[in-house]
Amino acid sequence: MEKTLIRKNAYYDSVTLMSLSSKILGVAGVQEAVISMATDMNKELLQNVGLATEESNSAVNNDLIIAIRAKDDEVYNEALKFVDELLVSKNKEREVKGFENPKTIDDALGYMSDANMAVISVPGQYAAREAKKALKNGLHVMLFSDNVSLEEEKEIKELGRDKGLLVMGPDCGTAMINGVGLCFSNKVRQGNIGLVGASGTGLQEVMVQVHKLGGGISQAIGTGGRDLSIEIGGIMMLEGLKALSRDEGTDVIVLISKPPAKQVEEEILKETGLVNKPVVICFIDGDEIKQKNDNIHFVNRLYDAAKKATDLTGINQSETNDNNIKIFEELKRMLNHEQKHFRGLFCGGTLCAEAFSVLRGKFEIKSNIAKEENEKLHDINNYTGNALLDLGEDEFTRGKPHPMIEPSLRLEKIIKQAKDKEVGVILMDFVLGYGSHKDPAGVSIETIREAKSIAKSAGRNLIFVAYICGTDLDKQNYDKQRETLDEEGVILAESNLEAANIVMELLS
Amino acid sequence: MENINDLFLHELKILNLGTSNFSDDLIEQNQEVIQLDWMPAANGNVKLLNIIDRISDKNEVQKANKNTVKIMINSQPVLVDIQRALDVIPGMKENMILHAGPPIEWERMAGPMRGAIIGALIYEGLASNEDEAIKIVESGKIEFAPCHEHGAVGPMAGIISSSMPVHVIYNKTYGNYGYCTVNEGLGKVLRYGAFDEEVVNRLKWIEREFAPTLNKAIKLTEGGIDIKALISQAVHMGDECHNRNKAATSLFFREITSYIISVDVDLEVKKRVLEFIKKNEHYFLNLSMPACKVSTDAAHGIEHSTIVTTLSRNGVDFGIRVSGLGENQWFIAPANMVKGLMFPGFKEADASPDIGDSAITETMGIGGFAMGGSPAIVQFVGGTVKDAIGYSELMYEITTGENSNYSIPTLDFRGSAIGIDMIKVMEKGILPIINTGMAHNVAGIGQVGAGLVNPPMECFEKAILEFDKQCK
Amino acid sequence: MTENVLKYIELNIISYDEEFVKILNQHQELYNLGKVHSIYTKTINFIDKHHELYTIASENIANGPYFLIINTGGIDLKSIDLEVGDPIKAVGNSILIGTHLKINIVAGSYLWTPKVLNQDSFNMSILRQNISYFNKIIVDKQSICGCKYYYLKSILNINNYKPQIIEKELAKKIGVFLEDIELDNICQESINSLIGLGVGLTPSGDDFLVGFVSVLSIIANNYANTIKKKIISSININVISTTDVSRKMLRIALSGKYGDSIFNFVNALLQNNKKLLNYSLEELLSIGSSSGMDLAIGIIMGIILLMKNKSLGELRYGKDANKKKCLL
Repeated sequence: MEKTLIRKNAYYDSVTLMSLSSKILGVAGVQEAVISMATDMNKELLQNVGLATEESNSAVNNDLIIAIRAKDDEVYNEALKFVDELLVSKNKEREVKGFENPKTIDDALGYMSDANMAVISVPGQYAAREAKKALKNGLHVMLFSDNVSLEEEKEIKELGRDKGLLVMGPDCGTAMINGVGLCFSNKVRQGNIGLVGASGTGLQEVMVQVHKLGGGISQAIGTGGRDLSIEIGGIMMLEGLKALSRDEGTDVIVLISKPPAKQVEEEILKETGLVNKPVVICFIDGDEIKQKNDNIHFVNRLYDAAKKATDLTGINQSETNDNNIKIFEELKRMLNHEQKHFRGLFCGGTLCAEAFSVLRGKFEIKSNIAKEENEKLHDINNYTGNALLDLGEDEFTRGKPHPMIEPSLRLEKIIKQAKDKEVGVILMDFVLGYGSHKDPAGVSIETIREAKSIAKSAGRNLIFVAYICGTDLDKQNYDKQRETLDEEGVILAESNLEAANIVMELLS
Repeated sequence: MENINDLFLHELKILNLGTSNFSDDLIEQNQEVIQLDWMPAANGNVKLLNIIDRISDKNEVQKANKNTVKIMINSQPVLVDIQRALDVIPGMKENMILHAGPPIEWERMAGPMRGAIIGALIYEGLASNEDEAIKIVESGKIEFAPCHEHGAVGPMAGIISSSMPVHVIYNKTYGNYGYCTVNEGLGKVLRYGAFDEEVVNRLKWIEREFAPTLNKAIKLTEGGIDIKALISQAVHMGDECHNRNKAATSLFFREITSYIISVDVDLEVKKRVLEFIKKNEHYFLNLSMPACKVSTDAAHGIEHSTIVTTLSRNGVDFGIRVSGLGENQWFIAPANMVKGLMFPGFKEADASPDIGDSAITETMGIGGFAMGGSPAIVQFVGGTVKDAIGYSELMYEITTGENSNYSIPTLDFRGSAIGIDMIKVMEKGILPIINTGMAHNVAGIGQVGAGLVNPPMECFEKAILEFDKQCK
Repeated sequence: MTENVLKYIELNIISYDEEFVKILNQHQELYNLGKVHSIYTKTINFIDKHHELYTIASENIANGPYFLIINTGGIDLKSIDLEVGDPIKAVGNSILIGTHLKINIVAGSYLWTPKVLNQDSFNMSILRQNISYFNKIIVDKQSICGCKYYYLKSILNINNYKPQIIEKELAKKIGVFLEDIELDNICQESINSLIGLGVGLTPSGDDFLVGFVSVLSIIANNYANTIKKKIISSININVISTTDVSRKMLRIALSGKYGDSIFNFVNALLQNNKKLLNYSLEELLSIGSSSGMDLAIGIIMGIILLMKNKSLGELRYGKDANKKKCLL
């Protein structure tokens, strides 16, 4: 493969260029390299040896051409490293070795003048300031921090919109840009489905399901949970939608959110109407909206969003999960008549919300994420009946890491449920991917075993239903996670939706 | 608008602020990422933060700062004369005594400063003993003023009275002058508050024999002695020209000797004069300080500039001045204690708080800022050579320029960090590092140790608030 | 103190070349000469309105055409408050650069002209000795990417070196060029295919030509003059494709001028003085990273050409020609 790199009006001293050329040629797998000014003769030479590209042909006398023929992409990238290494000034090289890491964005830009993304997870009261600084320097922003005021959120998002920059967040846990997972993100196949989501684990679940269905993701843009509020007006969802509609790598767009405010919904539907690619809109727990446009598809489950999107890209993988049915009958018989209730212990907020949405039609449930007063769980330490807990909510995490980072925080809750004679099913999620704990199943398995034996000694059986939100590409070793849980008799679902359905099946 | 799509076409180059878990995962994905050592700016004070943002967004501030530092760097201090204070220092009066640091009343003065003032009054013949001296001060007949407000600087107590001879430094580039007394040596000396007969006699000798001889010697030079060049060489020879002046004094000795020898005075006098310089390895301090002073003075008064032009202490308060603010506008907070090594026989409780105008050297980017190039100083102030290099490198974070005239060998001859920007100090929470001596808190005992000290952050807070007020 | 900002740093001129005399003489008070093009530690370049590049350099830079040498006393020119684009103005006997630097013509300033050989005939055996000495040094020197490969392969028959594409191409083009010259078959094509070819800010092919042509100017006998004229008529300096800096160097060389570093090397080649030869070669090789080597090889090939034509022994290297140039 041949590639060229052009530096406009580049007056590097020749010593640097010479050593660059010898370094590049020294990389194993580099077959040829020419580093020269873009004079006609030099361009002709490139042409003759087959190293010319469109870019190099259009360069002019005072531009520097770096042309490399390498065995493959990997080698080329290896060689490129030397380019950046050597073409930064000596002074800066020194600085990088300096006393400490840079402290401010301005300083950091001195080391990486072409930075294009800032990932910010500093305490909330300072986060907006850093985001503004990043935006003013032309950087896109992934703002993981929460506790940013609505006014500040509006200000930075408007600034981002005016500059054409992404402001993913505040309180945005997940994004995947150009195949790179930011913060909490699964590793999935790259493809042509673009996502914009106002919820972190919602995005993760859709990414994972698309992957499982054989599809791939082009971009996954997070917006933060409040983007579709009246105050913010869906600024980033609209910007993300527009960007994906222009993106040549994206053929199908999926929007994911809890049901937005009415006027924001209208705004989004209006914009969606202008997009000439199919758009899947997933408002979790939302009402069906009458579709007026063939290009727009409404769903209210994350799995359905993934399925619809992959269908639209022409991928049609058959589903293979009917073998569970018989087991359910067996399992049901294991529960005694007192064990009528389930408890959900969730790390992922949107996963909890989806389960709640699925199960509330059938059961009376209390949850700390419920909106209706009669479903609200007020005392998180005291509940009876069916309950779904989002352990990532503030009341659980105050002063502690998020359970996705530290799933062991969930363990004492498991034991507590096991001791409750009314509990028949415990529903859990295990979120894999970047940012998450390196072995969530591993740290939980002892406790699951213990919970079962507690129930056993009280003459009961306890059923665990779990969903692993992860893919075979994730760093945690997906198969190993499955195996660990499977060996302990945990019922594994293929999607969050399926997990909730299994619970429904078992207890109805 | 196109920027988002542009991002889709490029490799990510990421800055990570906050938890390093995220950067670790990005590195695992082979991404280029820089982890920032993020700290809440301005110690998390949101009001100050807003002000900082407002100020640092202004183009004219950036421009003014650049300009200020250029003036500092381009200044060319030259020793051109030695003269009686009364004859050369602007605004000097017979009944006036100049002191180190920001303004202070007699009642609040530190022990060493009071002692030095008593000594100066005896030296001037205005009093014959301690009691008389105190009486005359308390009568209100003596006027006190900071050296800094008269183009002068003085180490430790920094006392200058009217008859004292002062080195006259001329800034060849910008035409302004600076003044500093002759360094008396170590031990029992006026600047540490000693005032016995030995001290006064030495001062008299300096006035009657030393200064006239040096005066004649300087006249023989071609336009004076280039102090900038001497500092520049001395920095390459392991001095930082605040706490260590060995090389610089030797260089000065080498420069001046032939001229002193050519002076038309008794050979014995010449011997004594040369011996005095030779034996006092801090002689050069009283040249490097005014050299820095003329450079920072030239850079004072640049509208919109947030560059610090004075760091100074009087043993009680620490004061700073800022180029874009008033000429005699001080921002003051209680001085810190110096932390470092005590001389044998002394303990930390013996030390007076930070004192002296000598932090003018740090203001100019040498002293503590250049200590990375002065490994020998480390034994003197404690710590390791690596620490010293670290301090010097850290100072680039809060400064606007690099002074290639004073380049630091151990930093690959990088120019020393110059032009302390109060905004950067506040934003990053990094204070200038000062490398200084410690005086005994009882007048006249002398130096008890040496070490490192920072200005109080409060000085910078006050200056920023004032700057903001004037901007509105 | 703000008014102090307007004070100039003043430096004195050691030497200036005729081009500077021209621009200084023809302009009235405060005439705008041009603007700063680039600033380095030891040099400041500026361009006039005809895009002509002039260099103001410190005392330790080798003199040459379009050079003004100033006594900096070791000041780093980059430390002066100058920026690219600052105006250059002439006032009386001074040149003002931006608002911070003033350089003065003083009593001691002198007019620099290219040095002239003061020797009528050459000792061929010394010349041969010197060239073989040069060969020895050149083999040991680390230098890649330039004309060296050509020299090793075609002149010294050393084949243990694996060339890069660009070196192979250069070798081919130099071969064709020299062959054309020897056969008196000089044409636009063979020269132009050398121009702009190679790495560096001044592509190797250009450097080679500059060295080659400079020899013809320094040893300006009849044969050299004939060849040079033909070369000049084959190059349309405004049309060729090369970098700005390189075009300038070629233009100077074609106008018969050359810098001291080139002259010193040619001169040393003609003397029986190894020390001088060594010193001047080092000085030449210190230019750029391959430029010096390319210039040197251009020079040596020029000398070899003249030797082959036996034109050195008979020689008249044209003091007259040089005098004429000085009068321009």
